[in-house]
Amino acid sequence: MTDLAIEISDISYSYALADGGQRKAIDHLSLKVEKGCFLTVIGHNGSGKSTLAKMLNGLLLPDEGTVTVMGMDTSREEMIWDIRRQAGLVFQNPDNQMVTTIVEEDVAFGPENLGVPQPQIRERVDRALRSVGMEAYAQTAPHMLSGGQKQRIAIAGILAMEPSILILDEATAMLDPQGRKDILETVTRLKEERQMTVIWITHYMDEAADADRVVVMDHGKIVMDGTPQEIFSNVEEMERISLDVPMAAKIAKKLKDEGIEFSRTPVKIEELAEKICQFRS
Amino acid sequence: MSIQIVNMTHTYMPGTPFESTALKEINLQMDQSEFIGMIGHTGSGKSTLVQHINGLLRPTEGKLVVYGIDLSQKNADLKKVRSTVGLVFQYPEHQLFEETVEADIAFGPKNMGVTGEELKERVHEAMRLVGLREDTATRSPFEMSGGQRRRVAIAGVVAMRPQFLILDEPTAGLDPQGREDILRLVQRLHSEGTGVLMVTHNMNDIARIADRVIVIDYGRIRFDGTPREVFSHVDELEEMGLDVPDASKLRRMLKDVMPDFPDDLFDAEGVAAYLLQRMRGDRHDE
Repeated sequence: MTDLAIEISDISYSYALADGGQRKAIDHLSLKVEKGCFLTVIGHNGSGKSTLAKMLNGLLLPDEGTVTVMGMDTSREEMIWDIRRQAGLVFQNPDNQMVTTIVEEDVAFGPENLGVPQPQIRERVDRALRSVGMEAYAQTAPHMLSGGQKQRIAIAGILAMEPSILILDEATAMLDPQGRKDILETVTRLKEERQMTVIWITHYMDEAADADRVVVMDHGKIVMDGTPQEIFSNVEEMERISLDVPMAAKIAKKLKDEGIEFSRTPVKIEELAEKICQFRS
Repeated sequence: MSIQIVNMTHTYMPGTPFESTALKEINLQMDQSEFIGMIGHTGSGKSTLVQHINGLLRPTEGKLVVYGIDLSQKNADLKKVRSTVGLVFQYPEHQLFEETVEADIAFGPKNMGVTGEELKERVHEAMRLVGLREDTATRSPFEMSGGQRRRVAIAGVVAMRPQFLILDEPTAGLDPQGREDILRLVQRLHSEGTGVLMVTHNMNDIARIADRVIVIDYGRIRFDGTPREVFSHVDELEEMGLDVPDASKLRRMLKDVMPDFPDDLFDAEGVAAYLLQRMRGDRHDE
């Protein structure tokens, strides 16, 4: 039995353009993700990160190379429903992901389609709503909820299918700071409680601070791969591909340039403050 | 004063069971020379306020005067207000509909009665101001990237030559490069004489570029002042569920060891320069 949740071997993918041409979205990309890892993928718009997300549950198939999810090759058509049950995808726009008029029916939609028996669906829906802290809203109409609450319902809908991998494709991009924080906390907790593998795609750099591993994409390739500390200490490379780094890492870099070095690059402002206090004592 | 608001209150659906007060006794003056940031959590009343200034909503009580036009009056010239105060909604690119970039940008001024050479000139000027290349004029906005489409949408408002521009979260959903580009464009419009009111959630950005910050909470103005004044209230802002700039957080964490940490530093360069000076100074003391 393999310890890999996802194994991508040398994949490429091009979109057809209206003028008959093609645009390469993924260019010879390989990636292995271990089970239980919280992996954050960052990159600017058009870097290929959303295309990659759609590869991970077979919504798109690579032109070349293979994608293996929990041991299943996504190109095997007969496996596609097993793959999608194992790897659930949450999208950016909360309003596009609600299919019914009552929250609990929405959460039940996935397991119903999987043919889960009725009593078990009840259990799964209740459990999923509890997991995202939305049990009080089971009977509410989705349009009465905030963006952050809708995204939590979308996540519950996926949890009800009991997947091993949760993929969030810029799921916080349209939310306010409170909504973003709620989603990140919910997902971090789920990862711990259910030992899930999480693929968190974002362009908010501060959301990458707590990840186990960060992958940076540019022009359809992975250009950096490491811990948040490793990635954000490389300010020059991040700026070269027009990506921001968190404020704490930016300040630490400027101090380093002037000869004040920290043993481990601070990524969060709390870490920077701690280092400065240590430095003084 | 370009915009004056006196004791303004707005109640949605008054006299019904759904009645709710979105704005309560707002007093505010805004001048065309200012770059103002407005912050507040979702549902605080920010959007309701912004829609008043553009004449989309009418005050339930109190007075609102925009460039000499009293919007509390029933017969106020709303058309005039809307061409004087431009409003860029959230995700404005969702409202693009024309087949070419230039046609989309021309839609606003055309509705104002602008035609011929002047219309052409306005479209080109707006494109220049938002940083769209001339050769994109005949392209379909739907083939452009998200950041580019947003520029087209902003250009459509700019082409109406508003004296005051209100932007509701103009950087939401954009990547770091797109965000920086839009901020630069708003700064350029301001430096060329347009008043700016920008609603945002990004505290690092607004602290850095605005000269005044207004905080709305439960339909009331809680703080109104320079970024330095407003962000000195870190604890109160966090209690309201708002974020604060990273520099303000750092300042609070270091208040015991560096009590003289300046409260007007919000960018990485400034903070690093201060820390460096302090850390070196400490070394010499030893």
